[in-house]
Amino acid sequence: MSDIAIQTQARSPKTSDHNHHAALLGMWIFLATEVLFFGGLFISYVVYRYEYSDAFVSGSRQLNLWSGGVMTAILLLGSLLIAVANRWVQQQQGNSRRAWVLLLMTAVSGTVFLGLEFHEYSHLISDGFFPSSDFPTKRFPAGSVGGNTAEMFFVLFFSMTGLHAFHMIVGVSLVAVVAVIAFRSNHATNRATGIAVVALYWHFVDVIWVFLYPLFYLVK
Amino acid sequence: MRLYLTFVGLLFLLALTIGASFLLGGVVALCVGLAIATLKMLLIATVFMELLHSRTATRIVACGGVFWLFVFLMLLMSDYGTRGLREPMPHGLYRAPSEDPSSRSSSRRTSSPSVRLLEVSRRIDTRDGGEQ
Repeated sequence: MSDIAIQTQARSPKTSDHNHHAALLGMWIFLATEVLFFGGLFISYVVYRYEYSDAFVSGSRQLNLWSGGVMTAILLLGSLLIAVANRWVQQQQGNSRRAWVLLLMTAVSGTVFLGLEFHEYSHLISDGFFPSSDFPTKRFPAGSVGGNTAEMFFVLFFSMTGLHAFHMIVGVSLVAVVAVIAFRSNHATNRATGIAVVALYWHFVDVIWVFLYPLFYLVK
Repeated sequence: MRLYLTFVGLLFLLALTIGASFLLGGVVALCVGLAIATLKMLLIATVFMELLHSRTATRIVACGGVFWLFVFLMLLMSDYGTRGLREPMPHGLYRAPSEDPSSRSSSRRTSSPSVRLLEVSRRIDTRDGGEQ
């Protein structure tokens, strides 16, 4: 087969559609492994919450419930923005060329989320709640709740939300790159696949936070 | 339009989660919070991630990840439910017997099998060290 024939075949709508769906399937397989990756931490949470439920209640009181709620709303807004951008590009609507604006707004919403999260981290660290030898165990009531077990709550909080924040940083970077590509590229099909794959990743990170919020901020 | 309605629904569920945490407590609050989170996940997966309109292979992979996590959780909880680990563990994870001799006998009564195993292994280590 000549080079011209191969190029023609590569650009045919059928092959392009096949590549698009293969890319989406690949992303879903990656996300399934991510579910199990986070799953290990969720299992740790279940074990410690089961054993030391009182410690989790007193640990959760140190977190700002409303700040967590605003962070969740911002993340959901980012999901809406990237879903609309994805829809515009896939359906090749008249405003599909402006999808990069929505992508940029998604990246900004992610950055605001991270800013709020790091602000909360700084408050907790300045109050001495970062797990270390200086952890203020005596600030937690004695009895069924020991300081060491309350510290376990913060070990899980920082590790699970920290891992989520790392995923957010990757997500914001990917969305920013896709926004730049969408702004500069004229090849609609390339844009559609890239945006769809990154949108899946963004929604997944959103889903993880949807579970983290009640597990850490709303413990009563 | 469906995307915007889903977003409004997600915000409503978020408000419901926060409201339920004020009204309910304990295990009920946890179950309600997780049930609402699962609803949110389903909304995001089906509408935002377009799982309903995806190919069969994609849906199988998506369900597979959640299924194996579910199996993982069920095995863990069945272990808790059948091995008698419901008694409360002493706080502080593990306290060496030499620190507080009076608590040694009581911790033997109330501690879980894993803590008792640690105590036995420590006693064996001490005895072996003494013989050398």
